[in-house]
Amino acid sequence: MSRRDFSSSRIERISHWALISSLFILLFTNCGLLFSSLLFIRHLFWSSQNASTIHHVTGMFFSLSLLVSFFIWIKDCIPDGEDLEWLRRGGPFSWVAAPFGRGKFNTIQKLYFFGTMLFGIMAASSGILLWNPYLFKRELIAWGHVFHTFSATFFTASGIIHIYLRHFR
Amino acid sequence: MPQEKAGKALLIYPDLCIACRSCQVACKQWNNLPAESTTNCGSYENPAGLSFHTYTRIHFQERKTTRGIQWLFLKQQCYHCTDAACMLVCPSPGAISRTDEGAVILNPDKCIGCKYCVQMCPFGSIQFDPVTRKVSKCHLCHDRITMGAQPACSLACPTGAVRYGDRKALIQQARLLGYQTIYGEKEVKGLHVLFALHAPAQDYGLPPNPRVPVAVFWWKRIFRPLLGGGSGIALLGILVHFFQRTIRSHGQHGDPES
Repeated sequence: MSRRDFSSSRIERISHWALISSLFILLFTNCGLLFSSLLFIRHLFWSSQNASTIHHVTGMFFSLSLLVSFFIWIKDCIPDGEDLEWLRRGGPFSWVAAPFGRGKFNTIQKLYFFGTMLFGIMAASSGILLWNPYLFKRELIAWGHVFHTFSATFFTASGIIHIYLRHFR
Repeated sequence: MPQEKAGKALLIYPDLCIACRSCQVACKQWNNLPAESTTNCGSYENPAGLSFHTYTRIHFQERKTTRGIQWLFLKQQCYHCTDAACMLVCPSPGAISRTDEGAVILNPDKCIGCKYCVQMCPFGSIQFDPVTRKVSKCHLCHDRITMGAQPACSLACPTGAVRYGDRKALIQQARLLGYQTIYGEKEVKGLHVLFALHAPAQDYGLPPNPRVPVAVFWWKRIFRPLLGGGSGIALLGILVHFFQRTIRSHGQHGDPES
């Protein structure tokens, strides 16, 4: 991924930091529910039940910031001919030097944007299923857990790579 | 996968139940549970459902027969499944465990109030309390059982509709009495609260095929490790990239003679 210097507007920075902070809070408040060895993190929020409440509220904040981010960056992330050509030639798996998009974001950044939107919608909608144990059918709630965990996988793994490429590369 | 164990069990004969609710009262008394304020909802059943303070209750199910309306009485409580969904999904170690007798018991001190067990119980037997933000359910009076006594509900039952004993012996006894359907013998790999029925299980309001949702397997066995593995691979990838770049950079700026 090539680094590009571009100026961000205030609303772009606020929206990006809203997404980052909400994702970190979501990760820390609920990672203990997936890995019992990390359960102690939930107790840092005074009680495990408080961690759940914070997770629910932050989930709404995350969904809102995701929506704002979509409208801010969608115009810069629509793939153009060069993006499609680069993907057609194998994208990141191609050994041939391939062109990146000429716009504000390169092809991988555009893909990351759409991945964030897709998995963000998945996380938000499956989160609604898990909100109240009495609202939906048991099987549906169980699938909600599957998709919620899958979206968490995307955000954790891609977040690590995103931070590294932006700040440490 | 959990295997069906003999252990102890309750065997309920709904035909013998007269809905006196002695079992409800005995349960409340033994467990020191408070009474609840309820409202008339057009039925004789009371309370309207299980709650954090009601571990067992008699459910009134109406059935139309040629002789008119018939009432079927079902004792609702935790049925102590062998393949217990609550135990599979509970993220807090030690919060839900199984006794040697086969009872599935809760440790309220370790309950973190995530409600996963409430979501996944095929019988809706586990109740969440919004005040304490913990869950509760029947524990098959394991404190009484360990002292050699029988559960409070079976002791209080005046008609012998609730019987406690060795699981295999109870099933044999019901078969000898002519009951062909023993609900819970095979369901969810065997329940520790069984029902000897003449009518189909659905008529009593029991789920005909209770089971742990398939998605629980995908969630716990596939996607949860994938989250850990995916994050690990991402970390490993950036470390490899970082060191590769550092080594390359040293090679370019190092001593030209070396």
